[in-house]
Amino acid sequence: MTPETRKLALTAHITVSVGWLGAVLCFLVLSVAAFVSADVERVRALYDAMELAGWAVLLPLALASLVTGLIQSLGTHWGLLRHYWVVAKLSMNLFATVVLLLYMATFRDSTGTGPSTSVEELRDPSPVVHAGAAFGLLLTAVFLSVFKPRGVTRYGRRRRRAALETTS
Amino acid sequence: MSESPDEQDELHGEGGATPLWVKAFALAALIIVALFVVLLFTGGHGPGRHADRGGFHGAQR
Repeated sequence: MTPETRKLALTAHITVSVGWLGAVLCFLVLSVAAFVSADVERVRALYDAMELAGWAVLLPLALASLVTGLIQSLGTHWGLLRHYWVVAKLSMNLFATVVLLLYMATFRDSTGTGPSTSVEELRDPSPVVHAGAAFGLLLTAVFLSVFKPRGVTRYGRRRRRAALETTS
Repeated sequence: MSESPDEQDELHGEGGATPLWVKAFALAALIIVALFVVLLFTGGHGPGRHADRGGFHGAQR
């Protein structure tokens, strides 16, 4: 990649990844509001908003973060499997995206929003727990990106040795 | 990503051993997965635990 393309790819990755973090924070706030509310209609409306946000904002941002992250690592000398911090971020991103997809697919079932459900039955800690965990996970990913803790994988060391042997 | 990998390796030094943070990270991941599996098999996790509530799709039928 040319320096300009690399900067463009990095900007895209940061934008969608931090956007995902912000969207998760909004989802967390909505889930807390639903959990503490005593009004059935309000809880139903909050679950509707959370479902829409999940499909229209969270999932696209999660997938975009994964794709831009792959482009960013494969298109630069950081590599995908050479540094532990990149491997850790990739694992976390994959895990969070798969869990989000599975969670959204069963969101309506797990929040039990049938017409006859009472507010006690509607109030569910599950979205709070999932959104809280996702926020922690994504915040950790931000720290990994900024601090880039040291550590080259066995594969990375092999690649480096091979590159040194080629140049010498 | 201001530092190149080589620059960063020079800054921190690269040994052959797995860094401590990676071990702690792997341990935390293992604990989370184990917790998830335990909750899944004890019925404390997943949409199935709300089956008695009559979910949205069930109520539509």
